[in-house]
Amino acid sequence: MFNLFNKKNENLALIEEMRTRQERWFVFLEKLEARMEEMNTAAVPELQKVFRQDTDPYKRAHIHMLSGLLGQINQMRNKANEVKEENIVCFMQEAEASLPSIISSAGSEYRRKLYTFRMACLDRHNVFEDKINHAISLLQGAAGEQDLESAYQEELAAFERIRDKFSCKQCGGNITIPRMFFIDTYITCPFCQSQNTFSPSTGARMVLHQARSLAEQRTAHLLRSYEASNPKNPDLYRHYLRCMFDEWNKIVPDMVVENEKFYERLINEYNINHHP
Amino acid sequence: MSGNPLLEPIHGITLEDYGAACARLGSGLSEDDVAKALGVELPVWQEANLLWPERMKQDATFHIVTLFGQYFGQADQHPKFSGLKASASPEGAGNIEKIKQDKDFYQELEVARQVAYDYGLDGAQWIVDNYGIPIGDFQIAASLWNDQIHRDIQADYAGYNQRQAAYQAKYQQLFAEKQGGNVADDIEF
Repeated sequence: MFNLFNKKNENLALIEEMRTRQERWFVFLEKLEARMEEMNTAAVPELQKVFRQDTDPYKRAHIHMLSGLLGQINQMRNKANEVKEENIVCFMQEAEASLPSIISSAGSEYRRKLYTFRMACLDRHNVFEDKINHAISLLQGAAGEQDLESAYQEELAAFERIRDKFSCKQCGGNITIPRMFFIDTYITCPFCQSQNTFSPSTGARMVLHQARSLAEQRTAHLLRSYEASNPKNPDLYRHYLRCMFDEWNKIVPDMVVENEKFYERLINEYNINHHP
Repeated sequence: MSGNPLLEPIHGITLEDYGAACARLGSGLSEDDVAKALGVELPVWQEANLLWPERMKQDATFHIVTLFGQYFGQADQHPKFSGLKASASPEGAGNIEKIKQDKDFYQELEVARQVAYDYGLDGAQWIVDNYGIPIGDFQIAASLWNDQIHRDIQADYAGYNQRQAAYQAKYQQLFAEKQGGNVADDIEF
């Protein structure tokens, strides 16, 4: 189709094909970008609403909605990649194979034209990719961060309200729960020494699961300081990690021994990879 | 045991017990059922359930977590759990067995599960609803087939990719149809 170079070594059909193909490619990507923007404009407030209204501590409704939206963005990305492969890359290879020898003036000139076409199409695709990545970031960041501190403070207050309201199942004596527990725990009755089982609320159990995330939220400014350092300052990271574990230990004091062993592992690994 | 203190039982619950117990929890047994099968009370089980993952976090060699995966996959052979299963429909029970015997069936559902997530569905729940296979049994199948699939990829990377792409196309079409299409289906080059 494109190997029709005339006697003057011109191929007007090829030039026209490159022009229309580039135009169609640009229009195709513009349409995808417009659809992506339209979808995001509608989705971001919805994501925020679902996140706010989702009472599930794991925020699964929000996760599934986000996952579906990201899936649609990926569909658009895949669609663009397929079109690029079939209609731009394959076309270029086919057209290049049809050109006269590179040492002829027409061969050299048409290779230059083809190169210009190639760069214009690929550069436009890079712009599209940047927009895809931006759209993904917008969706992922739409809901913001879960306010774990408030949830934790609410649990502490709830525990204070109920800690004196238990009685021994054996003798009926009042039992005060000594501290916040996060799993079923034996409590000994101070009067008859019977063993009672204290079952924490679902909210209290969640404190254990969210303790690290809360500690990370509390110390996020320290991590940001490390990330902003240039060159990266390992001491700032060590400081962040120590402070994060200190906060974690404050939230779940029963886990101090285990947390510290984990800390030792992480700091040792970090030191091996980042010599002082 | 092996000289590794991280492998010492916790309140008498070994890592083998723990792996099998987790598999059964994922298959629908309650914590009470699991504690009873292990012969301990609930608080004892819950403490072990808290501390075994801590041991995995402390282990920089990943030996504990590797063994855990192995024991998880062998839950059917554990003496305390082999006869203990959550009730399943006849069709579900058949599929639970099939996914452990038929590698292609597992691979197809693994792709289906992932594509379901891409369409905003809970993929694990979709497998439960459509095939009656709970997440625990699905994960057991994953651990059973993992090595074989790895070998398949090494032997025939292109063939593996081709099969995966075919499964992907099949379920993308299925889920897209259920949702009335993808948002950019009408945009053509």
